[in-house]
Amino acid sequence: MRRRNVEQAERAGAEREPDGDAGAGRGTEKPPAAAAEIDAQSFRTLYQENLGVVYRFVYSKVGNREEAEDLTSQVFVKAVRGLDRERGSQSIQSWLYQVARTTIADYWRSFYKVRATSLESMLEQGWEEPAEERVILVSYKPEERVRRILDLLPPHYREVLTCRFLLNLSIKETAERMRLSEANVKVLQFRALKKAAEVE
Amino acid sequence: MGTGDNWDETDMSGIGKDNEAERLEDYLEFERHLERLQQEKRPRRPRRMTSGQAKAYQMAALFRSAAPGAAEPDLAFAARLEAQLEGKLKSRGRRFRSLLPAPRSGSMSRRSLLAGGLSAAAGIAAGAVLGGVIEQNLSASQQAATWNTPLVGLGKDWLAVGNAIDIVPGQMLQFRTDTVVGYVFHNDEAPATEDGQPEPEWIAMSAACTHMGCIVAWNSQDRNLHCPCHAGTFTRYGTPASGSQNYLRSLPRMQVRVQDGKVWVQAPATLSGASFSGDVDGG
Repeated sequence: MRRRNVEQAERAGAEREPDGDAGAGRGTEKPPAAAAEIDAQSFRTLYQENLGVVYRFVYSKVGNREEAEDLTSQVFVKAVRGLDRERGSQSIQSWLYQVARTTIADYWRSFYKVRATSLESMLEQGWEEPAEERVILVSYKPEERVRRILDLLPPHYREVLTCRFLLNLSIKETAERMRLSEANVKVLQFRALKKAAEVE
Repeated sequence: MGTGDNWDETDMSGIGKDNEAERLEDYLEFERHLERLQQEKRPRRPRRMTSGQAKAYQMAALFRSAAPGAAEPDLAFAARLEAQLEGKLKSRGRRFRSLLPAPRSGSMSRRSLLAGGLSAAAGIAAGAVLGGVIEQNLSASQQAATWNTPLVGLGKDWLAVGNAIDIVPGQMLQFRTDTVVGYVFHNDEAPATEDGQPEPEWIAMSAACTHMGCIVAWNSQDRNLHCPCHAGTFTRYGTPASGSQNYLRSLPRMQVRVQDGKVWVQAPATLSGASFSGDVDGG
C-alpha cells in the first residue's frame, strides 16, 4: 500500500495547484468567520456520503435496528442544527463522528444507568472505545474488529460466538453443534462476550 | 423452562470461571436481551449491571453488527430520514454559514463559481444520489448524463493522490480525502460511449454508491466496482453494470489530470483550516 500525506507536502509549500491557480486553492491563511454558504442540496450530499457509515457505527453500539434508526436520526438532526456553529478545524466527518459518539454516550447513560455526567467521566471509567475506533467513519469496519477479537479468544468462546452471532444459530442449534446443554450455551456466550471485552 | 435450560455444571468443564459473581438470572436476562436484538427491537433495560456485564452487553451489540448485512440502513428509513431532514432544512431557510473556506474577496474565484453558479448542477448530482433511495428507472442516457455533473458544488481543490507511474493501465486506485472517497482509473482501452465519445486515459470518480452511499470496492478480476450493501455493480467507467439495479445512476466523475508525474483530482474542498490527509490505498 502506498501512503502519502499531502498535508505534510502542502505545509512544506509543495504540491500546490498544478495549473498555478493558487488563488482558487486552499491558502494557508485562516478564512474569515463569515464564510460562504451551502444549501440544502449540499447537505443532501453530506447525508448521502455519511448515512451508511454513521448507521453502521451506531448499529455496532446498540445491535438492533430500532435503536440504530432512532440514534442515527438523532445524529443527523443534530448535524442540521449544528451546521452553522463554529467547528474550528474539524472536518465534516470527524465532526459527525463526534456527534455520533456523544449521542451514543447519552444512550449508554440512559440504558446502563451509568452514573456519569459527562462523556469525559464515562471515558475515565473505562467506557472508551478502543483506539482503533477513533478513525474516520468511512473506514469503520466492525466486522474486522470482531474478527480480530475472535482470533484472541479460546476456541470454545470463539465457537459459541461464531455460532450465535456470525452464523445466527439459535441457542438450541448452537447447543447441538457444541454438544452442550442450552443452559450452558447461555452461560458460555455471556462469558465469551465478557472475555471478548477484556482481550480487546 | 424445558430440560435444556437446566444448568449442568459438569458440562462446563474446561470453561474458566469468571471473577465476578454470576447468577443464573444474569444469563437468562442476557439471553432475553439477545432475543430482542435478534428481533431488531429495542431491548428492555437491565435491572442492574456490573461494569463487566455492561461490557458484555456492548460486545453483543458489536458482534451483532458483524453479521452479514445486519448493519445496513433500511431503504425506507433512509428515505424517511431524508424527508425529515429536508423539512428541517427548509424551516431554517435552506442556507447556512458554510462548513467550507470562504471565497477570496475581490475576485470571482473558481470556488465561488462552484459554490454558487454550479449549485444547480451539483444539486442534480446530489439529487441523483439521493434519488436512488426512491427507486427510479433511468435510461442509459440519463445515467450517463450524470458523468459530467460536478460531484459536489461546495468548492473544489486540486489534490495529488498518487504517482502516475504507480497506477498500472487497467487498474483502479482508491484515494481518500476528508470529503470524498474516490477512484482513479488508468484506462487501458478507448471504447466509444453511446454518443461516440471515447473515454479519456485517466478517469476519476466518486466511490460512493449512488444508491445508498456505501463505498464500492474494486474487483480486479471482473474489473467492476461492487457495492457491499445491496450488490450494485458499476463498470470501471462508473456506469451501472448490466443486470445491476436499474435505478442506479453512474458514479459522479471528478476532474483529473496528470502533471509532473502525479495524478491530481479535483475533490470537494475540505473545511476551513482542516487538515487533509491524502492517503492513497492501493486498489
